[in-house]
Amino acid sequence: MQAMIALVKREYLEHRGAFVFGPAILLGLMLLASLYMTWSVSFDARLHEEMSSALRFYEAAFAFLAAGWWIYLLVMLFFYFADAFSSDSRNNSMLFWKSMPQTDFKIFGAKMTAAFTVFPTAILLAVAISGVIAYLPAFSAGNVLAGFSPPGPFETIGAYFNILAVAIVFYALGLLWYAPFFAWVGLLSVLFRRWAIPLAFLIPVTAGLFENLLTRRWERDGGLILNFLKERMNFRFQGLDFETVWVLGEPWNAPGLIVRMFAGVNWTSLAGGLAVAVILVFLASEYRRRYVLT
Amino acid sequence: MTIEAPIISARGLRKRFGKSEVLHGLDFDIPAGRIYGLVGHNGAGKTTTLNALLGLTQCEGRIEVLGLDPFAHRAELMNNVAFISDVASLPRFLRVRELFALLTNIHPNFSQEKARDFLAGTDIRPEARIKNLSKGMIAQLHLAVVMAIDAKLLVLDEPTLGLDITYRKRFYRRLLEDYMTEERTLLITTHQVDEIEFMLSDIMFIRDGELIVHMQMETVNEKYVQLVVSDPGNIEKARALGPVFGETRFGQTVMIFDGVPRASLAPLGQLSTPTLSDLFVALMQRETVNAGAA
Repeated sequence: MQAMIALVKREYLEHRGAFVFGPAILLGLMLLASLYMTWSVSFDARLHEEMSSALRFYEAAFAFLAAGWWIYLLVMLFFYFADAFSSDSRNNSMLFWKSMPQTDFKIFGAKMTAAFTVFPTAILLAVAISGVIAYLPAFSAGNVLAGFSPPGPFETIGAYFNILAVAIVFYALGLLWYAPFFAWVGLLSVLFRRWAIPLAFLIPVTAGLFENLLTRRWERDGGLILNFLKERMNFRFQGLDFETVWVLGEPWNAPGLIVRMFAGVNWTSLAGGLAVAVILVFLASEYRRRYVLT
Repeated sequence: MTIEAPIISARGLRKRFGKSEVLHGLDFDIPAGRIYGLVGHNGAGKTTTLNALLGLTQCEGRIEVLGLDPFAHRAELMNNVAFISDVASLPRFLRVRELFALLTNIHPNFSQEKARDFLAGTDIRPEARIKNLSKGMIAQLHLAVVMAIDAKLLVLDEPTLGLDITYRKRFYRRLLEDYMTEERTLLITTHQVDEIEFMLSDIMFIRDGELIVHMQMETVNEKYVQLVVSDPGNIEKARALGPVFGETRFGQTVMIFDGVPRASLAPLGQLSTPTLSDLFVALMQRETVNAGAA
């Protein structure tokens, strides 16, 4: 366990640029932009028609930022897996790590663990800070717009923790859902190093096209492979659409939403995906153990 | 009387890369507490042999290191084996203190205190980033790392490649003075054989994937004799005794004999024990793919 924690820490030290320094810079810019908006920007009067209150504006801003950080996390993790699984080759330290009494599977396990714990936590921290920053324009909108008043502290804190709780569960389930895709990129990274990035898309798309060419299913349904991937790439909860919730003006009720999220997940598919992820990481570690020396 | 099991045992060790066989069935034992030099020309199979011993590559034949199959149990083996395969292989993104902290948790036999002691007297600061250290400093740091590991076997593959003579001398002196004990075994490959000759207890010459010499240094000194013939009249008499090598240097004929009694050679010229590099040149004569001897 001690070694695993150390290996995860190694991942943090090696890749903190993308998950700590990068978000810190973005948060700084976000804070500057919010301060600028607070003092210098007049809000469009139409906002009054779209938002029922400044609290609503705050919730929208915070939720929008949480969604933005989610996309940031997915993109960064994609590049992380494309890089981290072959970084020991790239920076010529492969034989140093192989001189350590740790298996290749454990080393890759540490990379997976870092990707699903430390890095999302760092981004969720950024989400939490974003929620604080988002109060500035909401406060400003409440002061400037006629009929609005700044959101009260208790209702803002309530909204803050509700959205944050939903974001935490969403991130956790979403990452588990996308685990096999990340593991796929990691495997390709071990095999093809930097070419993993284009190949991660090229291989499944080519396989799908070949399937269509061979089976002539294109005109009917687009083929099994592409349809499966399209379905599996779409992370959603059965019976819960956040956009609809927003349009209907439902309040952010975290316990209720979280229950609906858990109920709406396709657990069979998620568990199957996790099993595939473990198999892919094992294959990657075996390839590294047997064939990768530099 | 008990016979101690060898620390390394190889039988019929073969390795192929595609159609080409680079190790042709090596058989050897390495007992504990010895300092072995593995010497050969470029491409002779030295690194492949070491990689096989370290479990980095799969080979045909039977190989045991500290009683374990290295390829099947590399991680376990590395608890008691330390190796430097390339001076540039330390993770460059870490600071020196971060490297030591990491190793403390990753390697059960690593002592941070020892590593810091070994760095005393060098210019390497704990806060220094490895990527900012000079090549010589990285070699010193790597040596400090492996010497701080309480290992039974230390394997060094060209550890001083690219370093100047000052660093090379210091490197070997520290290794000998601060690390070697009767319980430890050292296996080292280098092209600069003259620099390690003083410390070796045994020597192995490998040529084109075959061991052509494997003996203790005392035996080398008894078995091989170098004769410098100044009198042209003695050259033919000396040749009649069957030298394994002969060449002309500055008007004198230098011959190396294998197993010829010194008493027979003494009247013909000046006798001495050949240096390892002389012996290397003498025994490594081989036909190259392109016509001519290498």
